[in-house]
Amino acid sequence: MPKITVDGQTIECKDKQMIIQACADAGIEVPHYCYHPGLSIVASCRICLAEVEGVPKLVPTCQTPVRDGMVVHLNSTKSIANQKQVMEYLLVNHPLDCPVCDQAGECNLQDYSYQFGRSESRFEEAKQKKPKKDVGLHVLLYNDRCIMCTRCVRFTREVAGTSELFVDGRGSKEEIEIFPGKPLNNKLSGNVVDLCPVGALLDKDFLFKQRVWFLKSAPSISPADAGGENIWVHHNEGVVYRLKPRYNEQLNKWWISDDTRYSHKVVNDPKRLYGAMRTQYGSQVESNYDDAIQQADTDLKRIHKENGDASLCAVLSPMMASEEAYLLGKYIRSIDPAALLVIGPVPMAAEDEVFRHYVSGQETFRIQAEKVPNKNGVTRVIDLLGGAKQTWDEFSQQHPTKLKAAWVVGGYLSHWTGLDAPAPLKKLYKVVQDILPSHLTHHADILLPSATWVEKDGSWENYQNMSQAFVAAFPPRDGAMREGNVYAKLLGRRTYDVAHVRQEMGEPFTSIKVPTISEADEPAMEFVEI
Amino acid sequence: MPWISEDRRHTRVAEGQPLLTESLKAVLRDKYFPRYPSKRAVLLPALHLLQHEYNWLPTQAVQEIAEFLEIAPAEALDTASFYEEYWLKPKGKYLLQVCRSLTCELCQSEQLRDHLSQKLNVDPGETTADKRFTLVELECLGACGTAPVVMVNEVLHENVTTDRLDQIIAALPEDPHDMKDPGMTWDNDGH
Amino acid sequence: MAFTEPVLTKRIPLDASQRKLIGYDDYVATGGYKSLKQALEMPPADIIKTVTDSGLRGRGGAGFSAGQKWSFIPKEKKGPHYLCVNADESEPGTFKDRYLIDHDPHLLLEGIAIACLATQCDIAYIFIRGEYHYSAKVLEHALKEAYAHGIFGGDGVLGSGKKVECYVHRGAGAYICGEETGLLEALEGKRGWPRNKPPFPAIAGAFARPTVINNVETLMCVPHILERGPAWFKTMGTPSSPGPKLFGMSGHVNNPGVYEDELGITLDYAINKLAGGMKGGAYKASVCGGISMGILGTNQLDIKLDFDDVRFRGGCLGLGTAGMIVMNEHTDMVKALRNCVRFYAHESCGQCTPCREGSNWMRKILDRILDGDGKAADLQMLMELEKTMGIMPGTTICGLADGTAWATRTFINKFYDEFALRCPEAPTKTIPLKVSSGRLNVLTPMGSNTR
Repeated sequence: MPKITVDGQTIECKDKQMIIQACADAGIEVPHYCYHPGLSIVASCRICLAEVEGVPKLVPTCQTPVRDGMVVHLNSTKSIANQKQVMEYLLVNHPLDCPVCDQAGECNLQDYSYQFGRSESRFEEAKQKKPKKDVGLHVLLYNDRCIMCTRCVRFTREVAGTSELFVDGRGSKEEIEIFPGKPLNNKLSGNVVDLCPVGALLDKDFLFKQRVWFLKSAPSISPADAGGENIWVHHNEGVVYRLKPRYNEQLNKWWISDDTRYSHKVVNDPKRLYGAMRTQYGSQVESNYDDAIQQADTDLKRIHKENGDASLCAVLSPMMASEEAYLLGKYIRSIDPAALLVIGPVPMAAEDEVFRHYVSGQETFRIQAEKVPNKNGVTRVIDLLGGAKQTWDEFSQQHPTKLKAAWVVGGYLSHWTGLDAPAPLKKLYKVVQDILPSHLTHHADILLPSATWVEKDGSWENYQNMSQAFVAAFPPRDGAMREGNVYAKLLGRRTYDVAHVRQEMGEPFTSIKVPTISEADEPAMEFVEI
Repeated sequence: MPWISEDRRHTRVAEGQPLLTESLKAVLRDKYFPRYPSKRAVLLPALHLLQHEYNWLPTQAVQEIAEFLEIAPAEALDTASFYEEYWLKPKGKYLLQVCRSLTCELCQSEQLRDHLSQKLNVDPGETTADKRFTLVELECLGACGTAPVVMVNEVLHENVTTDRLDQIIAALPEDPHDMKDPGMTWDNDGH
Repeated sequence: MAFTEPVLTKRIPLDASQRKLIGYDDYVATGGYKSLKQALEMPPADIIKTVTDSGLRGRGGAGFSAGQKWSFIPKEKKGPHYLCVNADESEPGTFKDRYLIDHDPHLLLEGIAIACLATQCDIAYIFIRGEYHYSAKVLEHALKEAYAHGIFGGDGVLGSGKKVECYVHRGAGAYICGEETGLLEALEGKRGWPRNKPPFPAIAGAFARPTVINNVETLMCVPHILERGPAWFKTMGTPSSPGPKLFGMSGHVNNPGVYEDELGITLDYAINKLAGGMKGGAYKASVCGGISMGILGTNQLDIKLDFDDVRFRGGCLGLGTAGMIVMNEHTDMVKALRNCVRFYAHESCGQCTPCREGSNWMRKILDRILDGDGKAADLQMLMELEKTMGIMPGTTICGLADGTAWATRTFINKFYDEFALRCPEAPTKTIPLKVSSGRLNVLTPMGSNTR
């Protein structure tokens, strides 16, 4: 393994690695705009140039592979002069409208300007003005702010393979553009916003919604499909403002689909259910949450007592965390050892959406056709618990008459039951846990509003049988309760402790790694006495 | 939408009769495809061909070329917009190209530009109201030995004076396709 | 050292009225395609060796050894090799390739055929700039003749079985496509953004295959070298820059045009003997080889025009294309520099930040100085910006920004007084401001407004 020295620090590198990547792996930041590990190398922004001993010219660190014994100077006079000059060049035509720019606070121009730039620009001439363009369903382009790193163009070609964006014109007049009438509407379009190192490409959904420095982040998993894309939940005061991709080498790499990106809508949906209900004399009345839970428990026990074994069933939603599914299974079987466990409906698209490199045709990204995150996890839990089980289709088609009551969990990102309550459930006594109102929730005997995935801890198993944990960003609002907490109460446990449940479930759940927020993301506060 | 933004999403490409006709396609297929290992490499010749045919490159033409060469329309426009010679907006029948680079400037090309500008009542970059002339200034045309030079469509005129310029313009035929390059002593086999 | 007879221009009479297009028959009648027959008898390595021995240096601007360039092409052939002929002559002051193509295209075709044999190329693309409509037609016509006479296509070069195809590929108006890899991109149907190196074109060039890129004049030297030998070639020019060279003389001279002589003649000789002396005033300055190379000053008439002296003694980037733009004493150097910088700002491909933003910034400063609004800090700014651009400081992918840098550097250094005069220490000018009524309202500079 080659070793190189960067500013006096010796670091180990992989063979043929570019200097910039080797530095990044060792935690040394080299300023860069056009370089992105997931895209081809163009070496055009020129800010990453550094002095390498024995080479007369500055070398682009993004494009120069490491050589054993190489001595790199990021802080030499020459390197610094170049960084300063490139920064000044980039700001020549930049409008400096940071106060109204969404990128402010997470902008490479700002950050590098602070770290590597000059305090003032010596450019006295008139700045160029370039238009703002509506280029896609989710994306706005502020050409003024663009620094022509072409990351977005390369992304649409090399990852999305759809090539909507292109560079129009040449020289200082060039702009990012779309072909007239052929907008950036592919299902990966939101990624260009993440890729943009400045505020040129903006997410319409996030536009002017929140200054980024107010946002807190929690590591999470995409609820949109079985792909298990890793995400960050960016939130503030109980509102999710946006979802951003979290790098995962094996799965989504640096990207997420737009399905994932905008799946947070449900969290702050004004229609969400809050407040438990129970049916009294044929109509739903508001209830204290704990009372409703107690009522459900009492009712189910009564029904089992009256009708004997196999009179209860639980519909475990593939939106549930595996741990929750386990607890619910445990609970229902504690009343009725022969209770039927059903896996809820699994909505499927016709086929996977596959994205390919525009020239080589190599697969770059795949959006799973299975539009729920945890079918595999819930299936595994049901198998773990053993006993009677059914898929939703089996359950819908052959309605066993002996069933008298059901515990139904929903939690889908949109209305899942259609206009009517699912047929097999119609005549049963129903305890329903869900987040959005539906026919089913209207006809629930007990309604327990539940939490979305950003409000709870748990794990999902993706289509490759990879179990991944997600962490609660914030607690559910009053009137909603995490499913896990409900089951914990019913099982007489003190709390819903995910780690504990995983221990109980055994492998592979015990070895799930829980992502943490690195210190870089959340700087530790030092408390001092004033 | 906040502030003023151009709605590029719903801009429509005017669609009419195909501009890349079967006969033009045949030229590309028979003459140019065998020359290159990739279809994309035919892009520049194809753009030249259509511009020669229609005097400029409507977006529809670029789109049709892209489809024919099996590349994304945006990639075709990416390439087309880079090169100065491709006109992505309409131009006059006659393109008066005045060289403005160093030698020509030393040899008073600015006088020629101003003369044309006054005579036609247009600024460089503009087209006359009757759509007959478009005046542009170009960088070096590679004929410094005979500066100043003016190129009218595809024909280069050397050692130009304002008087000669008037004569050249007066002698232009009604249809640009009738214009002959005086240097050509053989039958044009096209390019 | 002796240049006794024209070599590349031997078929082109000096008298313009006598010049005509040399067709295939005329070409063969005057000894054409003899070297090609000779080359067919030689193993490729021998051709390369002969060219290397001749010391032929590329005539496109960089002056790299042509034979050495050919030797970089892998000997073992695993797929097609390409030859790209760089006829994208767009450098202001350069018009020699057009002159050669317009009159003697078959000499180029012979050079191409030989180069293809030497480097085992299957296809040669003549990349000619879009503005050369006539020259492109000349080449198409000459190629038609050459195909008809079995030089290209068919059963191989003159029936030898070594098949070479040759096509004209027209550019479309972009100076940057004269840069090797920009040219390759344009050939592949992309925007002419120069590529990062490595990989070098000799390993992965056009269509990711080994590719030779040679200038028109370079290739035209090859048939002569083969015919008369490297030793003869070396009798002309200087030891480090042997051979004949076309000098494009333009600007304020009595007889502008393309002249052939040997490398190493002095600028004085070129102006006064070749181009008939100065016109309209005494000599002041001369661009030495296309504006990218910088400018030779008033006291530099004794500079030898070869690849080294211009550089080491002349203080320029190099001989470039040997296109001299001669300026007389009445020339406004600020305006001339503005012209050069405007050229680079206009032709910058827009890929690298320093060149894209820097050249345009410099243009704006020079515009302002020309408008009479210059100040001393502008000159410092220009000199500082210039130093941060180009390959020589290493901040860009290709050498276009070097052109901007060297033009600016040499203009300002060699004519500093003229620039300083336009850029006084303190601004003296009052700024007239047009107000809506149409009257002129004269504002004094900021600070004197004592309200």
